[in-house]
Amino acid sequence: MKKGLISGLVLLVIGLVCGAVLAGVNAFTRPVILENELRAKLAILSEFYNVDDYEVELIEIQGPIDTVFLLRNKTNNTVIEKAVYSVRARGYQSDIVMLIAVNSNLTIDQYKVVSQAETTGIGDVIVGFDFGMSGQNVQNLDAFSGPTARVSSDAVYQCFEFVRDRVAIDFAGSVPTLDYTFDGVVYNLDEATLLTKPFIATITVGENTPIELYLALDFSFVELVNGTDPVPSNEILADVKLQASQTTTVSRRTYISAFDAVAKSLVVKTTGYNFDAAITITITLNDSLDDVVSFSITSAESYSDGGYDTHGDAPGLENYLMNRYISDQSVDSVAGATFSANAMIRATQLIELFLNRENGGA
Amino acid sequence: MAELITLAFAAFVTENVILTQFLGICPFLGVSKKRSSALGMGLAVLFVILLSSIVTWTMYQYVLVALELQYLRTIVFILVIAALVQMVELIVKKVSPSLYKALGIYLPLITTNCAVLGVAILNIDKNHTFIQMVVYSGFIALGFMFVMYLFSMIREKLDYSPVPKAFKGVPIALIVAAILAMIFARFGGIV
Amino acid sequence: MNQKENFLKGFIKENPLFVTVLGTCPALAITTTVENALGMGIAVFFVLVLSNLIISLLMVNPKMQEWIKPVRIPVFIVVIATLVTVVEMVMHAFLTNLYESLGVFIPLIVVNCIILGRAEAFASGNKPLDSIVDGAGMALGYTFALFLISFFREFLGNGSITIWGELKVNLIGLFDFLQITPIDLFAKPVGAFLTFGFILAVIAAITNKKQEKAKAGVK
Repeated sequence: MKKGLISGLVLLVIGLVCGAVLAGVNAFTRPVILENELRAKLAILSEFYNVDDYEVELIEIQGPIDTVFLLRNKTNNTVIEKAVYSVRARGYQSDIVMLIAVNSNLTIDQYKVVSQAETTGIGDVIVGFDFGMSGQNVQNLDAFSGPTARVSSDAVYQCFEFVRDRVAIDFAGSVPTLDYTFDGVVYNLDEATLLTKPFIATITVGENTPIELYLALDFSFVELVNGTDPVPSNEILADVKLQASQTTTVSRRTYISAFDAVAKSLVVKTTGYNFDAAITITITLNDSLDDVVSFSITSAESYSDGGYDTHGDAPGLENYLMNRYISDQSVDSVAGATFSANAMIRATQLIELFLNRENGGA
Repeated sequence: MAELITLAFAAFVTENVILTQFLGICPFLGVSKKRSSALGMGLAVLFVILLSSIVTWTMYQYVLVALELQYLRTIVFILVIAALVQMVELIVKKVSPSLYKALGIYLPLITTNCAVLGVAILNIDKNHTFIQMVVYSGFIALGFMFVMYLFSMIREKLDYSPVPKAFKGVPIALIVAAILAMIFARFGGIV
Repeated sequence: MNQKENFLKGFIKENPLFVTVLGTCPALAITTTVENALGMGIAVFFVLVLSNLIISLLMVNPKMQEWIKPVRIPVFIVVIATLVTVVEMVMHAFLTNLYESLGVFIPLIVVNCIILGRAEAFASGNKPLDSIVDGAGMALGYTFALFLISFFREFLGNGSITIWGELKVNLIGLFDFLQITPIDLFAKPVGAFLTFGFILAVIAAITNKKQEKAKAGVK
């Protein structure tokens, strides 16, 4: 028994000595390690901006965003001029790390894929690719043009989404609040004006009564519905544009592009997987302009077996969905609905709205 | 959930512990001569990896980080693993003396199996949450067992094949492993 | 045996990687560049020599030996792990690039069978000076083995050899001369297994030839 105790004691002593040695070496090396890491991070930051022009605050957090650089104004450091995010998302077979820089008005300034280990060919594409995000408001990620490497570009998109969710925390209080409330935006179903002013937004400025604004397809202000009210300030109009583009009640990717009451034809355009070529549905209406008689689809995209082909001559999925709509008067859900199917669903919902306008809207 | 499935698939195939990450090569070359011992070793390693991953992860997150003693990670982990292997040894001796005999020296050698310590450290380096750690460790261990078993089947056949004298034993085993590695590497990106 | 023999046995006769096949995990994983191999070799050298020395010193005194024997494995592990952690921390601070290339295999030096094996088989029963020489020989033999594998892998896979940092030897001209491109395969895991297997086969062939000659000589 005594032998065992002594052995245990010896082990303990050796352990303590080793622990002390390690503590000593740690005290010596830790500062160097931290300084190296900081220098590496600032080096990354200086790819975008000259670090000396700002007062840099570094926040390390857990989760997909591992570092937030807040670049504050040097003279007035309560003002955050830019925020740079180091964010990662899972791609095809590796993590994709991106740097995304956001301006103080929440528009995307610059971005860069810092590292990826995807299959050569796919990975290379996304590194230099211009996703068309510069200038976009980070809270409105609707217009994102991804390269054909869908899974890898999905990871890039996810990075932007993570940043979008985080900016509110970093800029809280820095973005001026406007004294108005956004009450919603709907489709303009007035036959006379719906082509040039497709959306109507309702807002309440301060304590006044609500007013309605005509918005264009990109949600910018066109004119007041009721011309006697004062036009809201530019800041409010810019925020209306932002809010409207984030709603789900309307979408600028689905809209009525032509309406002829005499020829009883309605043309609806909707965008699915292929951002550049809208699906065009030409609909023939009945005499009372409240039901669909026939339709034809041009420049459609459909799925072949499992692939994401786009070919205009056999729009199978689109025809199927339109036929279902005409027979059932609704296409609420399609099993496994993805881009094109969702585009068709939005189109049929818009058609539905239009047809019901006489009865006070759907 | 989908992310866990991707993680599991990666741990099992694309980042396979033996064929891609090169952890656990010693038992891979040493114990894989017979199917029964390969399987037994695989199960023992599975048990040790799961148990040690959970214990080391918990110790790191709640003890070492709290006391700012992260640099003691290597020592603490290896001591935990050594203790767990001793425990497993006693259990195997009691439960299945034949397996204990078959594994022989290789059972205590699980302590020095790079895979066990490697997985424990990788869980920390990759910032896994608890669930991710369990899934990752579990599927790494399953991948280990799978490859061990696969390899042992091939090696049993190799014993009867006309292998050139210079290649007999470890060299030809390594060539076969190279082919297996090629196959596993192509699975990247399926999930 | 004299010190010279003691030292040289680590290179050929008892080469830890090629003869006793120990420490294979890093040998396959980090040998993508010569720089990695040399870096790992330096780390292993440091740990092996010092651990052999410390353990030999601890076990030199018969009284201490008696006390340590029952707990010798934990003691060895603690000593080796401490040394490895020191290497880890110093590398992280001062050789950051190497630290990142070697990755998880630096802490894995703890479970490198070579170090524990030499501690148990040699250092615990021999004098400190002998232990140092043994450790040095083994470590350098291991480094030599790592170098050999990484040389072939990097040369055939990349066309150039990275000796240390910026110090590169670009042999791509040879490839251009022969009108072939470097075989990327060798930089991948596949190449590791292949290179190691072929080197072992060559060594086995040479050993077999020697044995046959010896047999023929005896007859």
